[in-house]
Amino acid sequence: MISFDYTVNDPLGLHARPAGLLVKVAQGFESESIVHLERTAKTASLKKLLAVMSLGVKGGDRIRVSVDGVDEAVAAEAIERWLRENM
Amino acid sequence: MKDNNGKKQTIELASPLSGRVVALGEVGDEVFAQKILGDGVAVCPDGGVLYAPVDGRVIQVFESGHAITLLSDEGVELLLHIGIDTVSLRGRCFCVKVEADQRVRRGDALIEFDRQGILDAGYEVTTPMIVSNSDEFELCVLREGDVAVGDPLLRLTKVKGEGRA
Repeated sequence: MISFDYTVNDPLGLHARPAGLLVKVAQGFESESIVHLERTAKTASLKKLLAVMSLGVKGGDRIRVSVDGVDEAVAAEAIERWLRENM
Repeated sequence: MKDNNGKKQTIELASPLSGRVVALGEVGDEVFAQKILGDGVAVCPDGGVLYAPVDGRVIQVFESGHAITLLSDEGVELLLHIGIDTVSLRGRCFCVKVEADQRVRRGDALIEFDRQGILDAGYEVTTPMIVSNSDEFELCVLREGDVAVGDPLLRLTKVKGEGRA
């Protein structure tokens, strides 16, 4: 399993559009990936759109992404890169 | 595609708005148009209230009041998103009438919105209704052109044994 922390910079947070795009990235890999929101201690599967949106991740929030599976290295790298480039 | 006993479960979603039906592929935002969030349909509203298209439970209302997610009693995961990019309005123009975990019935008012205010602020009001678990269903848009609240708009047929590609 690979985990990394990330602080969301986008003031609009993880609303419908970025959530949809992020879920699409995560769905492209076999590994399971989850996101944990530090502020609420809640977790959601990164492959499930409504679960991710329900977290209500806002600008400034700190999240931890954990990826587990055969392609976890590639998946974690892709997810982290997407976050850095978009959030 | 038939399941074991040849019967297919169908679910009908009513239009959540009165206005004009817009095919999802024509919505002016590629995240919706390319079905990245799921398949569905959109309505360009002429009124100012978004109604529940189905019986179910509110999963979440976005803090800015511009979008809501519902879980229908039959397991349909729905995202209703009033306008395009309207998250940027930060709550202006929206008045939410329900809360998370609340049960709703088809036809219940979910969100009141200031249609002209949204347009004046430079945003589109076209409202996608997205089935975020659309890979579990076959979708059929039942109407085009003008639609009234409550008109049958989307028919979903449960697809058994067919998973994600």
